[in-house]
Amino acid sequence: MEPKRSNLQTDVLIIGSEGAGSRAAIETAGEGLRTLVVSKGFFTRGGASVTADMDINVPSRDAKAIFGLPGDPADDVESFARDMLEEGKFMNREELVLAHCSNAARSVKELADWGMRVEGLVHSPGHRFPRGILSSGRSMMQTLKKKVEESGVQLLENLMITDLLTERGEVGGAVGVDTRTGDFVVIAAKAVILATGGAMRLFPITTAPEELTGDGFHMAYRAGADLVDMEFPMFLPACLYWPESMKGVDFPYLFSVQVGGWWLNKFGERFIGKWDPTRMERGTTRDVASVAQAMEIMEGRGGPHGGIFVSTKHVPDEIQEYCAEQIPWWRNFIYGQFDLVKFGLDPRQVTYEAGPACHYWNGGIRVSQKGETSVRGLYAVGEAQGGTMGANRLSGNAVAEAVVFGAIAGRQAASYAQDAPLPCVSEEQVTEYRERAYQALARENGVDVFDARKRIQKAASEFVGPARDREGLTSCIKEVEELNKEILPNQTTTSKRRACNREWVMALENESMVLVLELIARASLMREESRGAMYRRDYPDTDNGEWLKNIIVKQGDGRAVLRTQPVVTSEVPLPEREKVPYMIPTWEFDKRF
Amino acid sequence: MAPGERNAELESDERIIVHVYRSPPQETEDTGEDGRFQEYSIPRQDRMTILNVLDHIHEHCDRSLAYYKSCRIGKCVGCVVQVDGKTRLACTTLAKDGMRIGPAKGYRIIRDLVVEFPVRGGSSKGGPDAAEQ
Repeated sequence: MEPKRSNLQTDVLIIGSEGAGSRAAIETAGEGLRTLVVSKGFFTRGGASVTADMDINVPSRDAKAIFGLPGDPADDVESFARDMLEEGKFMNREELVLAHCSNAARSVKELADWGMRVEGLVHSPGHRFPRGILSSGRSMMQTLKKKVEESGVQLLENLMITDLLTERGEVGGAVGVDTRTGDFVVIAAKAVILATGGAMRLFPITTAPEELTGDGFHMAYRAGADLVDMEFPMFLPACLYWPESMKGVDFPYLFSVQVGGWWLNKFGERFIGKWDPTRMERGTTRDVASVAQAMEIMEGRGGPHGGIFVSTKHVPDEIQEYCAEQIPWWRNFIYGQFDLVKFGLDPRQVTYEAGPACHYWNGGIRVSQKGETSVRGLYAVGEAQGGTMGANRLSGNAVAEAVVFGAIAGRQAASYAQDAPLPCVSEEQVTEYRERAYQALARENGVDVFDARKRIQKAASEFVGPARDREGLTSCIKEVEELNKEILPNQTTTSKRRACNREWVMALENESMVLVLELIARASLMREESRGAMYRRDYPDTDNGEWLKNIIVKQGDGRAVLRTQPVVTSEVPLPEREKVPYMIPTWEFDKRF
Repeated sequence: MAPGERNAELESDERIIVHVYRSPPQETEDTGEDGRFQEYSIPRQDRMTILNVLDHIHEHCDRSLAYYKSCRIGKCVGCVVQVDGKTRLACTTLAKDGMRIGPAKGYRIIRDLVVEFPVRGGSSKGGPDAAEQ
């Protein structure tokens, strides 16, 4: 039996249901527009937002004035923006940074007024002032869920969008698969907002949830949108590499930073001293830490599971226990719902083997300060958008980005859709995209989906981790060519059932992952320097003479076309145009922390 | 060596037996009465969770197994299942020999271990038809 086809219509289609998508939906529905939100998984039970142990950073002055927390009146929007640009190594788009910093406090206040818990203020690494309003992703998502449910938004879960529909360079909706039934869905929409998150699952070790496989990047790219800064996937250092069952879990980093833990190589050396001798483990930023750890491992000074060692055993139990009681997500050494004592992973007794895990997507779909992409009617918000964070995201900025730009792009998309006619759906496009969506299911013999996934992830881990070089990147591009020629067109699912077929979803995701792998490799090869989250072993300096430029990529004639664009700022001065060593702390950590 | 690449084979030969709920093969609604518990024997991993068990079964024993996972760290609570009569998260519960893993109680079963979570104003009930023009 042929899969059923549903034809839907809406004013605004939002792809992705969590922090950024929900926030945008509240805005578009509030403007009276028909809003359809689709989620690849279950609402509030998927995506990155719900996993955040979060601090949402706002200007410290506002933390005091608006929330009554012990913020510092010396901090303001400009100094927050300066920290983001300096720690983003000036790759950020300044207009996005200013929009982020000037709207963050308002957006958090709004969430708090709607019911999100506020639990205190923290001072996160890389920030000059204590700016982190402490809450949790769960509390935020419960709050947003209630608002979304009240706002008359139509929600479709288990719907995986596979392609955007376009007509003369304008977006006109999307097509996808209802993974619960296996049926095909065609959605005509006046405006589309991508809130699909990053592509961290490209890497075999990641802190990110299952869904984040770069689908939004793939569909935006295929629709002709510009992507930017794709060479800067962000890694979180010191995430578990062992046991196998808990790979990528991030508590060794979070906790070791809190209590003064050490990161050691197999000779027992605190190697971070070679990279960031002033700030060391507790104060260094996550880009440098990940590069330092990756280099120890790649140069053969790691442990038996391919990681480095993280230890807090030198810290007396009493201090560890005292700190544990202070931190809401670490009480009784229970992290999330992992009881670490029960798992035999009590930090008072165990040295962890850990290392970089892909954590966040600094780059993404290139947007204006209103969330507009280069395709008319198409918007990108939250982690899917590129340009806010530059080459390195500061702690506690992802959630703010999601809600700030969710609201901004929501308003913008609403005003665009107000005046736009309902687009015609091109049946030619629908047929082509439908064929692509069902091909792995239809094919009788071919490449196993799991084998394909492993091969893709192996290439990512080997060639485009935090530390790269020309040889690896060239091999990576060759591997991508092979994957595009031999693997992707031959993927086949073992199970042919359409309903709830996880393998089929993986096959579709694999296509997005290979594109993202290619874009990272090509942009990294072009950038002949080291900056933020990207370290080139063969170009170890940060070259502010040549490389105060962003790399922008779009599809042209069926291949990736890269161009550079110089960074321009008006408020925050750019650094001297000279080559500097990769790691120079831009300010003295110990003065304020 | 690439980060995370192991330089030693660390798996044991020991195996565990688990029983996992499977919906009837036909595409009709599963009321929870018509399915059965299927037995699987799988290699034990160090600190293996129920989610690791399901991942193993899906990859190596039966690709048609339906289950839901997202964060893997006990936060999204999407992988909730019934284990030996108790409600547990698959991702943060250690696996034991002889376990019976079924769909979470109190929800409508979509397929195998995937259940429907209620959303007010949402589509969970009608699927895309609910929005059809």
